[in-house]
Amino acid sequence: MRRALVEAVLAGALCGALGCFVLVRGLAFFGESISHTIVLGVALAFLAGLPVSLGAAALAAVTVLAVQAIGAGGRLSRDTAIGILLPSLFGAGVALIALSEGYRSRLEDVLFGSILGVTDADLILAAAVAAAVAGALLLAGKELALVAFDRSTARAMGYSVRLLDLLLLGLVALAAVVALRAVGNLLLTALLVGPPVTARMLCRRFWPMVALAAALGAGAGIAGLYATWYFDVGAGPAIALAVGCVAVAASLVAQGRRWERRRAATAGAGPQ
Amino acid sequence: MKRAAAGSPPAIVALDLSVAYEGRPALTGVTFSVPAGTLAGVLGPNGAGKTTLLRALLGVVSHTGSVEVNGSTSYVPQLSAVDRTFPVDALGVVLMGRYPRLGWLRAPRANDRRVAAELLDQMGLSDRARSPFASLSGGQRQRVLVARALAQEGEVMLLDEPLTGIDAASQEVVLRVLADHCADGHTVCMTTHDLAQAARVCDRLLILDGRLVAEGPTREVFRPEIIRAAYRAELLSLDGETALVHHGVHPAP
Amino acid sequence: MPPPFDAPYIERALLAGVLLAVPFGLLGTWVVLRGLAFFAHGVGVATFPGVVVGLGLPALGPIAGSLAAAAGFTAAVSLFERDHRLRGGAVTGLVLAIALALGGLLLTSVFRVAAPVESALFGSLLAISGADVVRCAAVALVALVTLVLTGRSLAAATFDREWAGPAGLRPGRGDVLLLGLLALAVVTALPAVGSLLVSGLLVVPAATARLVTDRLAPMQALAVALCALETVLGLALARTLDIPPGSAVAALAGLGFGLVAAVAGLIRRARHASRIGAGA
Repeated sequence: MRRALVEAVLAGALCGALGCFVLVRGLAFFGESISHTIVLGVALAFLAGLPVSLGAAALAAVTVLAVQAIGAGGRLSRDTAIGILLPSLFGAGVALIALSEGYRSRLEDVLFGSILGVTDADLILAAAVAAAVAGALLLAGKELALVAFDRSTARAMGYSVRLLDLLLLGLVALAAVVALRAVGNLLLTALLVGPPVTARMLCRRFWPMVALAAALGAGAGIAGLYATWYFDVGAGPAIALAVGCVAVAASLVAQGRRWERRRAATAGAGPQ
Repeated sequence: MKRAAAGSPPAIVALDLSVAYEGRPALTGVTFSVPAGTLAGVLGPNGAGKTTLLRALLGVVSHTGSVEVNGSTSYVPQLSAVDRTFPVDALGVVLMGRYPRLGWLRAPRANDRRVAAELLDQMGLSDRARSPFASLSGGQRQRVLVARALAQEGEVMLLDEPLTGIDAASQEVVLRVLADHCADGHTVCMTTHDLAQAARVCDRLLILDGRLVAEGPTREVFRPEIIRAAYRAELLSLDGETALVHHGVHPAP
Repeated sequence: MPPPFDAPYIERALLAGVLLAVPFGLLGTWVVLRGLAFFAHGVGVATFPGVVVGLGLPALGPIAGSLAAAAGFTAAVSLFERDHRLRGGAVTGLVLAIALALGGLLLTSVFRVAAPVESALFGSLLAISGADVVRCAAVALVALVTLVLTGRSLAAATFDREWAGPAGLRPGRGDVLLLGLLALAVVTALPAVGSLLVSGLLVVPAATARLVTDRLAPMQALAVALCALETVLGLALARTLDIPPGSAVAALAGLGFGLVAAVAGLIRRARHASRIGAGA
């Protein structure tokens, strides 16, 4: 249980923080698709007897490159490119898993995560990824934020926008591999989108938002695990749902605030 | 220049027109009228409310005060708004201009196709009729969009920055077609930020800056003191080329 | 009929698949041209908790449950995506995630119907009933008639929304219609291909068609044809290998796209090379 707790905190914080960049860049679909396409990597690695994380990481890279390639022609949008890769690669992965032995339980693990069964190896991987992400954010955080908010200025200032894009996508892919263990690929999006959306509602500036999102992600991980302990529900879904509830609550609060402001503005504004 | 249709009501009348977006005013107290058969130019710096004025004339934005357009309208939005990757050829785009008059059950008829082909011909694009819209140059695309508006056969045509960023040859074609359109009694109202060009081709000018700074026949409006007041700049003529020279900083929109 | 098509249930599955190719090919064209792939995926996923609840409450049934879920998803996304701070699919992503979490939660705690998980998520050949086939036919008809009638306005509005509104072509109405048809088509296809992979049939055949042609009508026809072909082959594969039909169809569609993309790329390169050689 202690290992699960550490894993939950790491996965939650990683996804929460990186999710902010994803949110600002409008990459929610991409994040969601990575969580599905790496299942093919998991299946292939399992068949080849290689570590599962390796296969997952390889497929994440393939997804990143393929999305760029498909969208490059100009006829198909990025949305379409992702819409092609997600079902194709995920479908192939599910098909492979279905062809192998003991497939039912493995499928459920992959889909919903198996945080309670996390091993020391998983923890080491999670810690390594967290360190890598933290390092990347320390070194290139300002540049990544700039590219997220104002691409043309970043380009004008001489930054290689392409490289920074790839860096961000790579970090998201790494986080996906870690979160795969914790909440399963189906619920990775919840961790990637929920805490940032909530933080966005409550913060005006970017870096406080990132910190808050990381905290919220970690907190959701802990809350979900306690829900599992006390209420005997699946851990993965519980964590995701915790995130979702907080996000929805925050949205309602923010929406209420906005309605208040609009009512005040139109009441106060007289004829020109 | 162009004859205004004698005795007919003005094509456009605005009375104390005001538009605000979420409490922030974009246009305030604009009053003017545009006679039928006129080529009117709407000028002003960025953020002056030119596009907003067109939107109000089209009736797609809520406003206070009144605005009246006598006759059906056709519209040429800014070039950037179009989805260039959409699978359609030049003829297909012009044909879209016939859709509003078709209704649900009717398909474009031979007559519609003939009209579209003729309009493309007027624009000098007959040889590109079957080319994908995406493969056309900026100037060619703009010509196609103007042809689409002509295909609508409206009485009043509104264009948003139709000459911006397109090659000189295409500009000449568009201006010639618009001038002919007015000569036939139609009314054209276009926004632009090219003051000199507007003065050359338009019968009437409206200068906006959140409010109406000046409006009237070109020769009355295109005067140094009015330009100075509107743009806070001087109009300089040098070897037949006219330019605006700003003094001081123009307040941000 | 020859194996693998030698049982009544597989005949039903084939019929359903071919019928569904009509709405999926046509709607898929609009999904690709309007950038609705994320939304389409989201609708599919959102039906999952609806199906779970519907299975757990026999009075409701999975169809009503999934319809309600699809409608709820569409409404939630339409309402909240207006907030410019949350653009880029954040709302879609969040609602999608909540839907999945809810479904998983209900499944593992409240309803505990283990077997139908895979068929809910990835489809099942055995789950396609005669009534489902009738539903497919009905949806195919509705989609065909509606999209033919509104096709011109949709095209004009997709190409240039700014112009279409003032021209009186009602882009807003087209939006609602399209989203409604999407929800309906997705719900109808759930027994066959499941929630998670249904978007594959919407996006991939139409995208493949887009690679091949620069005209709208051929693109639509080709999308329908490819959809039918890939569905039939996918169902056959699923029957032969005993894998979920949704996964087979989606993987095949992806393969089809890859092949066409590769061939198109080779042709383009050959043309480019010959042009350089000739023009030198």
